[in-house]
Amino acid sequence: MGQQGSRIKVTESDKAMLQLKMAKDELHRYSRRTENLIGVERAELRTLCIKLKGKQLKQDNRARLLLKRIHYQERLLEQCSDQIINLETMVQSIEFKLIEKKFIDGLQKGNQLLKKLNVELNLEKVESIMDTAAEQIEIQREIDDALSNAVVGSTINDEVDRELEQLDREVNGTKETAPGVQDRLDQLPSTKELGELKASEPEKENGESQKETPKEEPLLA
Amino acid sequence: MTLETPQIYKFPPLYTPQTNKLIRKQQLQTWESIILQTCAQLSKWCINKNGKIYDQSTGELLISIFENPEIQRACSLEFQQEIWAYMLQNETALQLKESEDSNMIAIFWESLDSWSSTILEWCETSGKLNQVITIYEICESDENTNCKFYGMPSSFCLLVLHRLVDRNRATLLKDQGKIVGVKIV
Repeated sequence: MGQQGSRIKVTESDKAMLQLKMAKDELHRYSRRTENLIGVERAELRTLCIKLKGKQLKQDNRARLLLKRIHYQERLLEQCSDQIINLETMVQSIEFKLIEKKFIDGLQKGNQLLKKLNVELNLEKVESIMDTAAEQIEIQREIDDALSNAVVGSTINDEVDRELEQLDREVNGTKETAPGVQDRLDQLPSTKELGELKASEPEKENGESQKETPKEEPLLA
Repeated sequence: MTLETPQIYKFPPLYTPQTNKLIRKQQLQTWESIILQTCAQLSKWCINKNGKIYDQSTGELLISIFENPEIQRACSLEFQQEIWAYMLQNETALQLKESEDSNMIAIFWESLDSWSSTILEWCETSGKLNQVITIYEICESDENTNCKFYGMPSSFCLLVLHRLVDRNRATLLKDQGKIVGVKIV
C-alpha cells in the first residue's frame, strides 16, 4: 500500500488507526453540518417570529416544526460530540499503548543484552583471570627486587654509608668537639676526685678557682 | 468581503490586453501579483477558471477577481486564459485534475515546498510524527484553527503531501481507492 518507492512501512495497526480517525472525522464533519443547520433554522424561526406575533406564532405549524427540528438536532449534536470524545479517548489510549509497547520492547532488548554479557562474564573465567593477574603482579614484584639488588650491590651501599658518616662528622662534629680538642681534654686531670662544690665554703672555692684557672686556660686559648 | 486591492486594480486599462509586448508582460505580472496577494489575504487556495474565488468552508464561489464592478470593467475570457497560462508557466498556479471540479486552479501564494515544510514542522511540533493522520485532520481539525494551512482544500493538501512523499518523508494511505490519510516520519 502507499506510494511506490517509499520506505515507510504501513502496519495493520496503522490501517486500523486510519479507520478510527476516519470515523472521527466523519463525526466531526457531521457535527459541523448539524451546527450550521441549527444556525440556519434558528435564523428562520426568528424571521417567522418577527412576522407572526403572539398567538399566531403559537398556532403556526411551521414555527412548531422548526422548533422541534432544532431540539431534535441539538440532541443529535450532543450525542455526536459524546461519540467524538469517546473516539478521541480511544485514539489517545491506543497511542499511549503503542508507546508502552515500545517501552517494553526496549526493556526486553536490554535484558537480553545483559544476559548475553553475563554469559560471557562467568565466574570461573573471572576468577582465573584474577588469579593470573595476581600471579603476574607477584612475578613483577620479584623481578623488581631482583633488579634493584643486582645493580645496586652491597659495595655501593657500604660506600654510601661511609660517605654519609663522614659528611655527618664534618657537618655536626665540628660544633661539639673539633678533632684534637677532645684528645687534649682527655689529658687534663680529672675533676671526678674532687668533692662537690658547696656554696657555704667560699674559702675553698677561692683556692679551687686558682687551681682551675690554669686548667681552663688552654681551652680558652 | 472587504478586499485591500492595489491602486492599479482600479485602473481601467488593466482589464484590456495591451498590444505593446513590453506593457503586456508588465500587465500579466501585475495580474499575477494581484491574484497571489488576494488569495494570501483571504487564505483561499483555489480559484475558478473564471476568476471566482473558491470558499472552501462553504463550498461556494465568491465574486470573480477578473471583474471590478467599482469601475465596471472585466477581463475578456481570452485575456483570462492568457493570465492563467502565464501563471501556470510560472508555477504559481496549477490546474487541479483530481478535484471534483476540473475548472479549479490552485494558487500558490506560497510555494509547494514551503507548504510541505510548514506541514512537516507542524507534525514535529505537535508530536504527530510516525502516526496516521487523516487529510481531513490536517485541514479541518479544530486544534489547527491557528495554523496557516487551516481550511486548505484536500486536493491542495494532497499536492503538498506528494512533495513530502517525494522527499521520502511520508506515505499516503488509501481507503477504497481514495487517499485519505498520511503517515509522516
